[in-house]
Amino acid sequence: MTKSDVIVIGGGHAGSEAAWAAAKLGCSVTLCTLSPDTIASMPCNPAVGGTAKGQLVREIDALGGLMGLAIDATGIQFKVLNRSRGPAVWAPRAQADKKRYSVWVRDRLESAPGVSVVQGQVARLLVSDQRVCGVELLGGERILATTVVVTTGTFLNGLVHIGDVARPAGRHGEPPSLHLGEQLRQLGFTVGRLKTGTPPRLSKASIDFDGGVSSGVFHVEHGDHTPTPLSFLTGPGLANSASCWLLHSTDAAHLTVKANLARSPLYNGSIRGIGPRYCPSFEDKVMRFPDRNGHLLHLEPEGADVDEIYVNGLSMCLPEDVQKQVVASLPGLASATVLRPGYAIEYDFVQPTELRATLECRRIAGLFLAGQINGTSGYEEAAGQGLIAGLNAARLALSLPAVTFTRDQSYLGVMVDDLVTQGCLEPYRLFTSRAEFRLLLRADNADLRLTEIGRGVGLVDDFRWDAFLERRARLTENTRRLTSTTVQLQSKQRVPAIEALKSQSVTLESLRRDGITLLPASRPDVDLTTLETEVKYAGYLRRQDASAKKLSGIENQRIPDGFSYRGLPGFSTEVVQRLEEVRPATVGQARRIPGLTPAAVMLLSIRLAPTTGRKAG
Amino acid sequence: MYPTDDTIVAVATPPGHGGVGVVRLSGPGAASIGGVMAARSQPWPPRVVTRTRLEGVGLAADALVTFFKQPQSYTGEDVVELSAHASPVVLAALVERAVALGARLAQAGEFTLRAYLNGKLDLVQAEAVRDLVAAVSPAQARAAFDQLEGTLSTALQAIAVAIRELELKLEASMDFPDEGYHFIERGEVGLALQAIRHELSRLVATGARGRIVREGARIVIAGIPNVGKSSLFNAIVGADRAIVAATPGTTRDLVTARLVLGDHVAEVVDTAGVREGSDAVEQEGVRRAAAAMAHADVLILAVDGSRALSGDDRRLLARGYDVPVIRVATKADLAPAWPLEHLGPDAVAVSAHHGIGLATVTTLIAARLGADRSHDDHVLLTNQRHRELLGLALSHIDHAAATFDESDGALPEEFVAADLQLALAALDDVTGRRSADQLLHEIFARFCIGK
Repeated sequence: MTKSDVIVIGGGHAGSEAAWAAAKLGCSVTLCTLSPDTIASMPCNPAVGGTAKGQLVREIDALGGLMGLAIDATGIQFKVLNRSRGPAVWAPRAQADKKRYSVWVRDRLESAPGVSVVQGQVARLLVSDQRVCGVELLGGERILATTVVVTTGTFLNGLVHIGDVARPAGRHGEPPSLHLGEQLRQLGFTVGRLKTGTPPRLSKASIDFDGGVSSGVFHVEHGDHTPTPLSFLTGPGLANSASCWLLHSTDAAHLTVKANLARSPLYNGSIRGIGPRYCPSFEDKVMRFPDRNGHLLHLEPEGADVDEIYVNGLSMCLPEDVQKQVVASLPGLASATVLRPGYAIEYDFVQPTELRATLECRRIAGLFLAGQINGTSGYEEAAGQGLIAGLNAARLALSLPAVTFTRDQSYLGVMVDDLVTQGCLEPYRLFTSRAEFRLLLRADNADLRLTEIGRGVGLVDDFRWDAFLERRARLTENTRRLTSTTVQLQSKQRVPAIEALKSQSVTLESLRRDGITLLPASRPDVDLTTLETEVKYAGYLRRQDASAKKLSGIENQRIPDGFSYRGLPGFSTEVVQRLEEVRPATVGQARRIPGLTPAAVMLLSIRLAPTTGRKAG
Repeated sequence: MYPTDDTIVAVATPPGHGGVGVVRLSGPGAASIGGVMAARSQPWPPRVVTRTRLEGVGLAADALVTFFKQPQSYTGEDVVELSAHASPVVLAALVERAVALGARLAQAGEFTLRAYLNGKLDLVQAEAVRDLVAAVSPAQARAAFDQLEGTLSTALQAIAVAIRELELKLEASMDFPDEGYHFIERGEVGLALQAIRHELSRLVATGARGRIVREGARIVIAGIPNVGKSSLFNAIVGADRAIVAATPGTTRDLVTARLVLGDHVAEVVDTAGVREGSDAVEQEGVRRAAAAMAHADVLILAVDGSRALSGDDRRLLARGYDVPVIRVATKADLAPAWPLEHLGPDAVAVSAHHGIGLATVTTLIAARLGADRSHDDHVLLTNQRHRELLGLALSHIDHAAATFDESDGALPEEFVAADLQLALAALDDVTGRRSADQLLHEIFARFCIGK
């Protein structure tokens, strides 16, 4: 019988980051996976980043995580979204070479000191006295540990639907975890059911891309001229090696869907799990938005040397023969070969209101949950939670204090706070609009927000730390240069460069033409963006910073563990029930629980205040 | 802050002798304490008035008792109301008895605080209760009642919905950049901002009138020395308050009096005569007079109708004023030195001593005050806190519009969204939708006991 500090169940994006983070802190980590070949696999779209997610990847990277480095090493097309909309919503994104991404992460994990990868299915958690102490594999082997991180993705009671065929599976072609889901229910966890889906994959060789472009049905999407990396450590020299294509669906495909709707498990009542509204299936798009005469689809290569094309936007679970008809009726795809059909998958998740902000379960000490098991969707969301869970599992195992992140500090903080206070009614993904301090949470300054914290808690190694210190020193020096050098405005007036830069028509680029010299930056997308943004939008940033600080009053008023809401007058039964489900750690968290009125929050705040002038009893 | 889980008691009617006085109990013990006082063992039917002889209060007291079962009560808790003869002695004895049985004397505003905490009122409505109780003029009562009925809350809600709608579209376009269609076109953003601006500034514009209704209109009497301003003041106010003497420059300071004039509360201000003063004290009086005129809601310009107009008179009359002006020729009991029409079409000839023209002056004042109740009949910003917060919201909307129009190159839309969020936060603070801080404590501390 072996003993580790931390066990991680599952080797997806959450599990990989969890194992990596725990190992960084010096813990011995056992990573249990059904198959090492599927470590960090991408069962859905072959891309990392995008709105809010790109910012999140930068945060994971700033804290020493794997995802940014992995996508930079294996990306085939890089693009920053939202260029026209303002620096806080600029979102780096990259198409991945799926195979190489997975191999890259697996190599890192297998060579990480302290990490051992074990192939096997976990049959159950070993729990004693409301505390987890290890796992038992399907063959009966036991592994003991101080803490356990569960990152089972869609595997808990997974049920894959293609047309009228529904078979238990964790992902297409892989067995589900039935025992673990059952045990979690027995332990009393609130378990719900969600649904997600994926589109059919086409054979690249069977598609005439040039023909599609010249006939006007495809539109080529290139990467950015200068690719922007996702990691702060990646230097210049990234290249785009692939293109994507864009097309619009037409009535022919819509009619095929409508004619076969009764054979879609989404529409014949077979699927009861709730799918994401922000990522509707193609069936839903056709039926719910009948006025749209064309839905946008992207053809995305799954790798440089891979034949598979991912049809972004065509997620469906109609029978395979219907999917083939739908594909054949799309412009430019008449002779495309379907390699794998799309499918829908239903799976169990644990209501994340069961969790603390460390992602440890309140119910079972030492047990952490991360990724889709918490009701989220997205590789990036999973990776971010994996990092937080792995970090805190390691710190608990090492008897170090827990680490949590706040909403004004990171998307990590926004996501975890949303999860533990709101719970999930549909698969949760991050949006920039979830962040009330969005202007502060930019992709360019994730390192300034988090790397020092990461260093303090043991996640950031010397190499990253030194690079960060240099970057921060460059920012200070460049700011000084802008302050101490003057430039001539059109009005012939001379002002400090830093003042001139506040005008929308002046940029760092134009200042350089006017003779301002800045320190050479290996990563202008980071260095110069931070400098320019913090000068140009200083008023907005200050204002948000001030309102973040102003909140800290009742926001941080602590609610003791195990505080009794029962019998509190003025609280309705529903309010007490919500509070007991969520068990907020602060009044700020309570304020964000749906259904809690401002008055109830005020009552709570009063109850918790030092009881001056109150009668005894 | 007050405890919120015990039973509170207070006299709910104004102090002094009246027909009926009401003692109100609210809280979990209201029914049982009331039950002991009424020597009643079985529960009361809700909302039924029962005549009862009260026990143990030390004097004979008959009362009408009404029980309101939570949540169908003013506070949302169990409430018992005891209506007795409004003798302060009787009412005090009832309160004392309730306290002896375990109730606590309510603090100012505590009943309304509980109503707010239990979701019976929003913050705007809670404030309206205070205003309604304090109302002395019909306009005050009407504005407070409208606010209590939720007209202001509804108007704010409509603006908040419009802001949210715009923000939603901006957020959607930022969060879903590659959906292939526009959630909102640039021109539409500008139009939406203009529409929100329009609604919000209309509401903010009612603030001036709202202040007049709630805090009273300032009616300032101005004129050169010795034209009879103080006599006019006394005649309007109906009391010998200002010093009246035939020596020019007698009124060196401002003299004010509050009265209900028609629909409104008015504060009538008598000023020192406007002229180049001879001594320092008088000059100070003149300076104050100028300040009072600058803050007037209605200005009464008085000249002596029995003498030729002086240079100072003409200067006073010729100056531009941005508030309604009533021109008055005084001393109408003497022979007029010039035709009244010289002062303009609406001029009034007045004799304070003989009561000539006074009714016309007060009618004119009421008409001027009531004049702009045109656009929004019900919504009126009467509260200083509301005026400030809505002014703040408007400044954020203005900022967003300016950001968007910037000739120097418009800022990206996320900065418009940042302004919209702040505007929304200000609106939310008005209704108390999200604020749960000191502000509330201050608001509730200003209630009179028992409401």
